[in-house]
Amino acid sequence: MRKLDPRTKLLLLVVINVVMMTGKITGIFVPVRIVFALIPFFLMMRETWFRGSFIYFFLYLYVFLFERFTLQDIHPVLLIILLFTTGLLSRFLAGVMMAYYLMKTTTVSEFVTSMERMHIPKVIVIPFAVMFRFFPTLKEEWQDVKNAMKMRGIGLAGRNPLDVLEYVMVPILMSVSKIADELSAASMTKCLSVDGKRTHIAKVGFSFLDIIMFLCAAAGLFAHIFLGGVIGT
Amino acid sequence: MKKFEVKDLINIGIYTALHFLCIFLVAMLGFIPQAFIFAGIIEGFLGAIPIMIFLTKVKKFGMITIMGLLLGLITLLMGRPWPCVVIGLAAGLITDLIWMKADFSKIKFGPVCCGTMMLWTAGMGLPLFFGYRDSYLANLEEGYGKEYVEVIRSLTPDWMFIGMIIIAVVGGFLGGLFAKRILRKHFAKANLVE
Repeated sequence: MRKLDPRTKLLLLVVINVVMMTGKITGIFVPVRIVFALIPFFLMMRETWFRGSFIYFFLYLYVFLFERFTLQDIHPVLLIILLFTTGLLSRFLAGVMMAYYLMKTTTVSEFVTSMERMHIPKVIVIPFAVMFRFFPTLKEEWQDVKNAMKMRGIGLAGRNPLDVLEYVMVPILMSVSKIADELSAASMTKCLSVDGKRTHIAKVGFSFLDIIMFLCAAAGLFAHIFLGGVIGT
Repeated sequence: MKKFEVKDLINIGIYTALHFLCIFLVAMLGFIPQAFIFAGIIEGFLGAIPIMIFLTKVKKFGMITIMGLLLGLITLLMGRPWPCVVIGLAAGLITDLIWMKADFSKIKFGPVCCGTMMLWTAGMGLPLFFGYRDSYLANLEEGYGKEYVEVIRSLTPDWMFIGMIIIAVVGGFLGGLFAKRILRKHFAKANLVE
């Protein structure tokens, strides 16, 4: 199975976020939104993450129907509570899923290779790649800190919030600055600090699916800009 | 300008990730219109801590600018209008200049830097203001009804954009003060920073 090119994934992420977060939610944009909500679902099914993709599918279906049929002219206070659950999810969920897919399926070497093909300077590519790989690590660190606190019987509830912040942030920052040192040692073995052209063994390139996805994204952007979905027109 | 080493680039990536995560988690709260004033303060407060630690690792001009650019690019990835990249870049550049004035070491300038760094969050609120405003609200109205839009409209006149920036900067400054205390208490002792 050919993998999707990282550039396609990035483009899709941008377009999904543009359409979902700033686009209209009525009229011709109903089918557009449905298509873009289905893209992450389809991509996740392709990776055979059945459980995740079905949870996403039904959550989105619920939110979508809710937004369509119950959010019209009801009491503002109730509306704001409902919005926090449905409106927020219907805007963020697809983008978050796409970002998750992007991070899970793209290796650092693929990402760096495809960015270098686009001649993006190293000073931007490397921090970006590090950042993408770092979000999952941060989650692990947070788990570890939580476990360590539980083991020593330090609860977070009912404390001064500033103390809580200190108890959580200090250990995370400590290990983060150690990880930074380790990563830069590891990067030596990958010759990242050497000037000159590097070679790559990661295979990236556009396939048939990439072209379809590109067309989808282009159509979505076209609808967004020329059919009145865009803000500022 | 001194050349960047890979270690510098990795530091930029890591601290940008941490900073962005802090902001993003709080920014979710901002969806409730009444909460978004508090959200600005908390965002700044939380986000300042990674920035402060990052500042102690910066010894070259340009590193903070790249961080600003990255933050701008992420905002773009989240579907905000393109000027957010310029805003991010500008925020980074301003902070960089201040920190350079402080010889990359005078920690008492730290809180100010944390404050100015928060300017990039202005890009996040961009759809609610200026030319984007009316159509954004009109389009919300179609979906969510008049009352919700009225609440938002009354809370966000154009001057609120400036207000929002000031709130975030003040939040960043306060967070910077707190982070400075943490830095002295924990990190200086463990020799993790000079």
